Amino acid sequence: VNAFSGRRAAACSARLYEWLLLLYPASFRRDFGRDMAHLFGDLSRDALQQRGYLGLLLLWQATFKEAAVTAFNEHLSEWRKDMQARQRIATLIGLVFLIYSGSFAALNVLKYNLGVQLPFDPFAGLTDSASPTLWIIAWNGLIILGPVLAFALFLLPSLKMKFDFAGDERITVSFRKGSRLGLILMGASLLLFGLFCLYFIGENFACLTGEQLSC
Amino acid sequence: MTPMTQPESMLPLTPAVFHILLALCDQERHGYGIMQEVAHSTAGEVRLGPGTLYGSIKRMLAADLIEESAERPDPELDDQRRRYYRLTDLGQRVARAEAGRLANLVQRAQAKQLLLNVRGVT
Repeated sequence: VNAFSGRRAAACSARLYEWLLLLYPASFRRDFGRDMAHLFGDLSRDALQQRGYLGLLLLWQATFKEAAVTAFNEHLSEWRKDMQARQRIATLIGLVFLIYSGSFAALNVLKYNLGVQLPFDPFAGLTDSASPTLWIIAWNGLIILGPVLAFALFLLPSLKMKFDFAGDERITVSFRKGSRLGLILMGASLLLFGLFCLYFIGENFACLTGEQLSC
Repeated sequence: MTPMTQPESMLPLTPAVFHILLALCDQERHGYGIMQEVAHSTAGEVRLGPGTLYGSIKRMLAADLIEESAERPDPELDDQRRRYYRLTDLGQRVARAEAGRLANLVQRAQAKQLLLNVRGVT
């Protein structure tokens, strides 16, 4: 590759790399995009000098894989940063889910297990199994999935994921030490979900063991 | 990071971060310079891509392991657009701590006679 066409090819390669940079989060591009494009121009020039157009092709092949993995990591990192910034909101929403599910679980135990006469029917409009509307299904689903959603919302800000490709591709997950309140709330969510599972097993025990033929 | 940050609390480092710290141990370098130094010192075995390099630089800046340098080693010869990086005091201490940790590991491997057949290791 002669010097002139080599320079042109390297510049063109750097220009194309700027498009590839769109894979990265905007803040990362703002901070390092120009440097990365500049660096890639240098790498393209080196590849052309050493192995010609084949070298440039091999560089691009390696760069595609690297860009996909590192851009994914940067998005994860940005997302985690956002979640940490919105930790209070996430905790608040999680609490709403937890209280919603928890209150129904408590009222259910009071009414059906302990036989307490409630002055109102908390399940009115939610147990119309004859003609369940999407609305009823959604509210019932929210009762059951509430603890899971709450657990996820309490957990996510302390979750640290990284896509690694040292030889074999894998996602490594680690945890940031959370607050005591966060741990208590996560425990409460798991406890509530466990209670739902036990309740479900208890209610459907005969079906699950096959003792009852039609469930 | 506070000035009281213990280097040990940041270990173990990822290979990319440790290679970058090693590359900056003796002099300030820009991104391309770091990449060349890493490739040269590992005989081409480790090649950092732009995404890995600048992703690590971003995290190292945030952790106060490195800082941007305003000086240019030779402004006449170099491109003014390049950003140079240098180790901070914490970065040096962390590099030392990681080197010590790895040396301990190598000692243990030697004690278990795992390195007998490796060239250059007695």
